Amino acid sequence: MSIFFSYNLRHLFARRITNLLTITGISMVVFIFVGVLMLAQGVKYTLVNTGSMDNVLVLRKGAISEIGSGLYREQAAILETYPDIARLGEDPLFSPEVVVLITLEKKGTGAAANVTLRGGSAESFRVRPQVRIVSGRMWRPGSNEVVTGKQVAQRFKNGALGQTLRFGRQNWTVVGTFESGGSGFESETWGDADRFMDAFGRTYYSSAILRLRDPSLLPTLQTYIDEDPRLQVSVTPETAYYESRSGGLVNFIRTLGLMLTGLFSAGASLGAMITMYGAVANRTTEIGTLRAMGFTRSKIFSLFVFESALVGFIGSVLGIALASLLQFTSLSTINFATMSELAYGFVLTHSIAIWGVLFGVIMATLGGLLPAIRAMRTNIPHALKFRGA
Amino acid sequence: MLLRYVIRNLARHPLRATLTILAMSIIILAFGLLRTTVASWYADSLGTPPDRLRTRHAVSISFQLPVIYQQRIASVPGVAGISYANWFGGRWKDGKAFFPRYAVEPVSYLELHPEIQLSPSQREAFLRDRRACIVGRKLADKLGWDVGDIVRLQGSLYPGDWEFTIRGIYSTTSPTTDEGSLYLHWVAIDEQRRIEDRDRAGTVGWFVIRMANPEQAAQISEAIDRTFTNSMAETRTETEQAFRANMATMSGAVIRAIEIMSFLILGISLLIVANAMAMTVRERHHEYGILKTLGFRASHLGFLIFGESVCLALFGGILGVVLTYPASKGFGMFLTSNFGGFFATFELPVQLPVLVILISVGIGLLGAVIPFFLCLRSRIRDELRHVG
Amino acid sequence: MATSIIDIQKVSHSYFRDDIEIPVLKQLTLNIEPASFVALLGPSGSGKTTILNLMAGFDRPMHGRISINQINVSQLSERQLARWRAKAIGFIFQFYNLIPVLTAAENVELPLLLTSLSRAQRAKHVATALRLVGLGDRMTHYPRQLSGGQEQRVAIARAIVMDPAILLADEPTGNLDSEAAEEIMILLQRLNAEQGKTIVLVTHDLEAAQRATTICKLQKGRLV
Repeated sequence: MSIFFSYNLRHLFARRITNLLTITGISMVVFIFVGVLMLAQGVKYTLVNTGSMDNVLVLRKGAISEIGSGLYREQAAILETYPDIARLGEDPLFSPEVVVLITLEKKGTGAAANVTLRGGSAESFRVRPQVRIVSGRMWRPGSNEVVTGKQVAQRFKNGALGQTLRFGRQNWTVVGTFESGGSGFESETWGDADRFMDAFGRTYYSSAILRLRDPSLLPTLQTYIDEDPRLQVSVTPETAYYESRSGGLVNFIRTLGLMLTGLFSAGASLGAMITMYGAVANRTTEIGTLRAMGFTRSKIFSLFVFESALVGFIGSVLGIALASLLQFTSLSTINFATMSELAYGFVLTHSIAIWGVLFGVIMATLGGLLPAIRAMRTNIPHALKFRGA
Repeated sequence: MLLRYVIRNLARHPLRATLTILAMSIIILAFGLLRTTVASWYADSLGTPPDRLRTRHAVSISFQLPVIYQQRIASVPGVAGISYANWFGGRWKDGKAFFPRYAVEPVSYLELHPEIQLSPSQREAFLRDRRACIVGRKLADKLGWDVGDIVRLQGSLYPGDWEFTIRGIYSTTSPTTDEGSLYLHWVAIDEQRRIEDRDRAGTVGWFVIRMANPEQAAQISEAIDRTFTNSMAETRTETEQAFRANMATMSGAVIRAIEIMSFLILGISLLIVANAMAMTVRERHHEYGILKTLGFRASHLGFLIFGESVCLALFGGILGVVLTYPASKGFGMFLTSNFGGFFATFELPVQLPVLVILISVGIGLLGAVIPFFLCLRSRIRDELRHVG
Repeated sequence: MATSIIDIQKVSHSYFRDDIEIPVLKQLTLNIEPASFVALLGPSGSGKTTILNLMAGFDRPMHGRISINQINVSQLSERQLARWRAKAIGFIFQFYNLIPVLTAAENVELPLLLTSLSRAQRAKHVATALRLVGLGDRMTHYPRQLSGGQEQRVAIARAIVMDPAILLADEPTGNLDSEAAEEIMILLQRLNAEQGKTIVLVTHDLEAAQRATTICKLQKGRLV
C-alpha cells in the first residue's frame, strides 16, 4: 500500500495550490476546535488544581462560596480541637481564613476587576504545600503586609513586590509573591486574617481549611458536626468545592465553542468536497486507466477517501501545532462562581490532540465521500475517451 | 455583455458553485451567531434607562451597605427617588437551573423600574404578601410556573429553607431587560437575619437612585460618595450602564476569544472561495488564452474572475444571513435557557445584514486575488497547448 | 473454432445520445486465435473502439455473446470482471495514460499491487518488463521526462507486467511521429512472436495495421 501513500501525497503536491488552501482551511477549523478544548481544559485545570485531595473546606451551612460564607471564632475554636485533624509537629493543620472580594485596577487598561483577598496565617501555607513564596517573604503576623499571587503581581497595578496596594481604607505593602503551579490561588492576594478583619470591619472568618489524618474520616467529622448544634457548618472536600466552581464557565466555553465549531466545520467539509470533486474530475482518465488495469470500484473509492483523509490529517496536524503555541499565552476572565478575576492558560492534553486529529480527518473524509463515490462510478469507456490533464 | 458572461460562467459548474455558496453561507451563519453572542453580552448595559445610579460598597460588590444609608443618600441634592436591593443567592432544586434572585424593597423598586411591568392586581398581591415573589415571563415559561405556585429555595447568603408564593409574572418593555429574574421582599429575609445573624442584619447590596436630571450624574455620584468618605463603609456610585458594562468587560477574555473566532472563520470562508476560484481559473486556462488572443486585456479577465468570485461570495453571504434569522431563534433559546446567567436576551444586531454584505464582497475580492495572478502568469502559448 | 481465444458471436451494440439510439455494431462475429496479431482497421465511428471496450468488459453488449478463453465476459459480476481483467488483459492507450505523479517503475508496478507479491518480487517483475521494452535505464524517470515513444513503451511494460495472454491496443501510435510509431509496432510484433501474446490492435493507420498478421476492416459496425 506504500505506493498508494506516495501516490496520494504526490497528487496532493501536484495540485498544491488547491490542496494548500483546503489544508489551511481545515487546519484553521481544527485550530479553533482544539483551542476551545484547550481553553476549557485550562480553566478546569486551574480550578481543579486549586483544591487538594486531602483538604476539607468548612463553610457556613447553605453557603455555596467562601465569599458568601461566615464562620464565627467560637466555631473555629471548636473545630480546631477536633481530634482527627492531621498534625505537623504539635500544631493541627487547620487554617481559619477570611475571604473577601476587593476591586483593583488592572495594568494597561486600568479597568477595575475583582480580586479575591484571603486573610490567614502561616497555617494557610502549611495546609497548601503547593503554594510557595517565590520572591520576597511571608508577611509578618499582625502587620499591613501582603503577598500577591503571580497573576495579581503581573496583571494588576501596584501588585508587584515592593509596591503598595490600597484597599479597605489602608495601605498594604507587597512583601512577597507566590506561585502554586498554575492554580487559582495565583489570582489571589494573601495577608493577615486579623488585619483584614479589622480593615473590613468584620468579626468572623469566612471559612476554614483543615486536613484530616485520613481523607476517609470525613463522614466521622460530618457526624460530629451534625451532633453539635453550635456548628451550623458544612464540610466539603476542597477539590470538590473548586471543581464545582469551574462547572459553569467550562461548560459555557465548551458548549458554545463546540456548537459553533461543529457548524462551521460543515463549511470546511464542503470546501474539502469542492477540492475532491475537482481532483476526481481532473483524474477521470487516470481512474479509467486504473479500472482498465483491473482495479475494482472499491479500490478506487478507498483511494480517494484515503486521499481526503490525508488532507484532513495534514490539516489537523498543522492546526494542532498552531494551537499548541497558545500554551504560551494566558487569559483572564471573571469566574462567575466566585465573581473574581481568574487567570488561566490553554492546556493541551494528549486526548485533546487526538480529538483534534480525529475531528480534522473525519471532517475531510466526509467531504471526500461523495466525490469518491463519483470516482467509483466512473464509466470506463467514457473516462478513456475523456482527455483531461 | 461581460456581466452576462460572468453569470453564465457561474452556471457552468453548478455543483461547485452550489457547494461554494453553501459552504460560504454556513460560515456566514456561524459568523452571524457569534456576532450576536458578542452583542447580546453587552446588550444588558445598553438597555437601562440613563436616569438611574447604583451605589455599592467601595471595596467590591461582595460587601454590603447598611440600609440606614438610605436617608442620607435620599437627602443628597438631585436624588429624586431611592430603592435598595440585595442578592438572595441560594439554590433552586439541584442548582442546575440558575436564575438571578433579588431581594428588594418592592414599592420603591417597582416605582424606579417602570420596565418591570406587572398588572395592577398582581402588583397589589405582591406588595401585600411578605412571603411573595414575582418572576419574569420567560423564567415562568421555562420552569412551568404559574401565579399561585410556591418556589422553594435553599438559602446561602440567607441560610435556611425558604418558600415564596408567586404572586405575579412580569414582562418587560425593553427588549434588552431580562424576563428571567425573581424578586422577593427584602424585609422578609432580613427579619430572620435579625434573629439569627445580627451582625449582618440590616444590610443591602446596593441602592438604586433616580436622578432628577440625568445630566448631573457625575456630580450626584460624587456627592453621594463624599457623604460616606471615611465612614466604616465607603460607597462607590456609578450609572447602571457603567455598572453593567463593568461586569461585562470583566468577562472580556471570553468575549474577545469569541470575537477572534468570528474573524478566523471568515478566513476559512475566504480560503474556500479562493480554492473554488483557483480551480475554475485552472480549468478555463484554454478559454482565457483564447480571450487573450482576441485582444482581452488583464482588466477584462480581472472583471470576469473577480466578478464571478464576488457573485459566489455574495450569494453565499446573503443565504447565510437569511438562515441566521431562524437559526438565531433556536440558538438564542438554547443559550438563554442554559446560560441564562450569561445572556438575558439574544437579539440579532440590526446592522448584521449590511456587515455581512460588505464582508462577502470583501471575501469575494480577496478570494479572486490568487486565481487572478495564476491566470495572468501563464502565457498564451501554454494556455493553448493545454488542450494537447 | 474451438481453439479461438476471443470469440465474438453476433454482437450488436448501440449508444444513446439525448435519447437517440446510435447503432455502432451490427451482428458482428469475429474469432481470434491464440497468439495471433489482429488489426481492426477502420475510420473513426466504425465501432472499432467499441469492440475493444466490449472485449475488456468495460461495457456489456446489448445482443450477442463475447467469450474470452471460454469465459463469457458479459456474465461476470463487476468484481469478478475487475479481477479477471487484471490477470487476462493488458491495455494500451493512444495517450499512454501514464499516471503523471508516478515514476516509470511505479507506473509499471501499479497492476502488481493487486496481487499478493512481495515488494522484492514486484521490483523484479517491473525490471523485467521495463527491460523487455528497452527502458531498463529509465526506471526512475517521471512521464514528463520521457518522449512520447518512451511513454508508450512504459505503458506497454505496464500492460505486460502481469503477463496477460491478451493485449488490447487502442490506436497506440496515434499520438506518435512515424519513427516512434514504427518502434512501437516492432515492439508489439516482438511480443507477439517471442512471448506468444494475442494482440488486438485498433487503428485507422494502414501502415501500422500492416504489421499485424491479420487485418480486419470495419465499416459502420460490420466487418468488410
